[in-house]
Amino acid sequence: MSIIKTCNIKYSYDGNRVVLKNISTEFETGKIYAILGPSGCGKTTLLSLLGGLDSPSDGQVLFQGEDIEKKGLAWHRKNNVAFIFQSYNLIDYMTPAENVALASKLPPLPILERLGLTKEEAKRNVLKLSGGQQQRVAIARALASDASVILADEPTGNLDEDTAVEITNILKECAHQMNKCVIIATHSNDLAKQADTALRLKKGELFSEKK
Amino acid sequence: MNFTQRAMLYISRKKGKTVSLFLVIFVVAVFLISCFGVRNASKKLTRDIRTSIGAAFYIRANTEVSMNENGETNVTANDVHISQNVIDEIMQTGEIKYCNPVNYGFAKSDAIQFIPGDKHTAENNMGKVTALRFSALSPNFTDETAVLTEGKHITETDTGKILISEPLANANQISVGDTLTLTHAKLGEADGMYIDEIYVKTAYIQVQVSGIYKLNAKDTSIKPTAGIAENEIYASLDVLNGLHESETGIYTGEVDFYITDPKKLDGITRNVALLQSIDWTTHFIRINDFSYSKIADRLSSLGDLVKILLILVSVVSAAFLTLLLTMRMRSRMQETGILLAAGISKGQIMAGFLLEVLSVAIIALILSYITSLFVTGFLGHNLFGELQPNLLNEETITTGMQNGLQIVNYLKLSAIEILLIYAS
Repeated sequence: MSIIKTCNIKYSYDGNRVVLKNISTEFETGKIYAILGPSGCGKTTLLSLLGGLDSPSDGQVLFQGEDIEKKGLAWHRKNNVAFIFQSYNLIDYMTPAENVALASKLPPLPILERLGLTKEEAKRNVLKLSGGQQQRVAIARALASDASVILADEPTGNLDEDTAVEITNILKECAHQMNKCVIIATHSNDLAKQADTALRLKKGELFSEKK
Repeated sequence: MNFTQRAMLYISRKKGKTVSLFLVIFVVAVFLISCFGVRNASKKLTRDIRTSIGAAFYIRANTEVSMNENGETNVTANDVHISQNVIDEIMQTGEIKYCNPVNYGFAKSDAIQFIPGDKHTAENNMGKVTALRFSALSPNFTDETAVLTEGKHITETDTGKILISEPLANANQISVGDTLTLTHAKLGEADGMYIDEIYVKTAYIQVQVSGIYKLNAKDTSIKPTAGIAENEIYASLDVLNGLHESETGIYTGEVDFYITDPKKLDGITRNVALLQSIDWTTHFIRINDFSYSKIADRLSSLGDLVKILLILVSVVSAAFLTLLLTMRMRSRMQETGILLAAGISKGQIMAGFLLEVLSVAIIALILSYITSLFVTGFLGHNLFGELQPNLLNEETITTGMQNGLQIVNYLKLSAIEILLIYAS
């Protein structure tokens, strides 16, 4: 059953430059999706619309059949979706534990430990962690929010190969074992191969990618 | 994590940014409060100068100088002869705020051993008595040759009150509130000695010490005991009447008139000089504008200068603070995005940022207020200190209470004024 769905969404900058054209697609829980495409094709824009960071110029984004604008985008971001970014986007004056606690009332340490961070690492400043560790913190923050949909924008883009594999495995675990809907915007064909469904954005339209 | 926790984390972890914001707000606030304090003080002082005693004219008797056959010079001071009726006539010309008639005489007391002067004897152990209506208006007090250090000045409602000097009080262990009995005396000279010409004492009066004054200038010239400045007794007008040295309503010393606006001084004295009831062949008018108009003009210029400075400081401070806060917000765009992505509402994010600035600002403003008390005090004493002694305080004149013009009080800003500065 689809958890999040787009209905004929269009998006353009300043009403001129059309980025997305009539995109209608659905995403299910327990699956991992990869959205492929060259830089500037609108992958991040699509994730922003799904996550309620922006509103489409036309069309609707439905979460469990309900327009996300109905309850408000902030409500949608707080309760339904969680983000993981290429540059981790952690708050630099906080520890990993505090970053995870930002939008969650759950105790952060068990989640961080589950993702491989020690208690000591969880209390260090985030800037003193490696890239892989920082991305784990970002994933922990997404999981701690208890959102059904995880939107990941190039989550392995800044990581070395081995760490990228580890992070991909964690995301797969999120989808398959924790029954989350994980949507990843990526350039990486390797990462796309790990996804249950791969979609390609081309000239503002979304196509299914044959595996 | 709520916005308060986030704000406190930012303040405690980003120490450099917090301290720089604190310093900017602190410096700006100290500067603004100090400028406002100085501006307020100059405005209030100017207003008070313009509305209080601004000038005086004194009616005095001529001094006759003659030369005898041996070529010796004789100086004879005529007595003033002005009655209360004449004073009332002058007061009716309008614009006159106070009249201070003065009588002079001498007095002795068994309880007072006067500071010995030239050729001091038990017989010439006496002091000069200056009986007046308002002792604070006596030229010695207005020019600060004498300063009241304890007790109250003599006012028009007082009877049987005297002021004595500190050395005289110390030498005789006299304090404010003590009562003494005075008797009349008259300084004369015989066989090269100073004598008391009133041999039989018939008049006595009990007086109370209302205040003690200090002399700022030391007179080292050779004088009889009665001529020594420390032995001068300021008394209410009834004292010399009680010693039969003056008559009620007749003034033989001098009569001083005080007006508010120095600009009207010439007009008033011109009208007074036309009065037929005064013998102008033996009397003359001396004027004194206390240089108040010049002081007021200087204060007004200072006020204008501070106003310009204040506008400049306000504009620069506002621009600098806006720039600083804008840069602060810009540097936190990414953080804002992260918080938005985490589902935190814009309102909560703004509340967090606002709380950070407010927390730092409150501490900076409290400390700036304390610091500005010292800064304004320092500025005040440097800018207004020299003007302060020359100003007459109306409250002192009318109540006798020695409040003086405390510059610190002029520099103080009310709570509302402080809040308005902080709000701006």
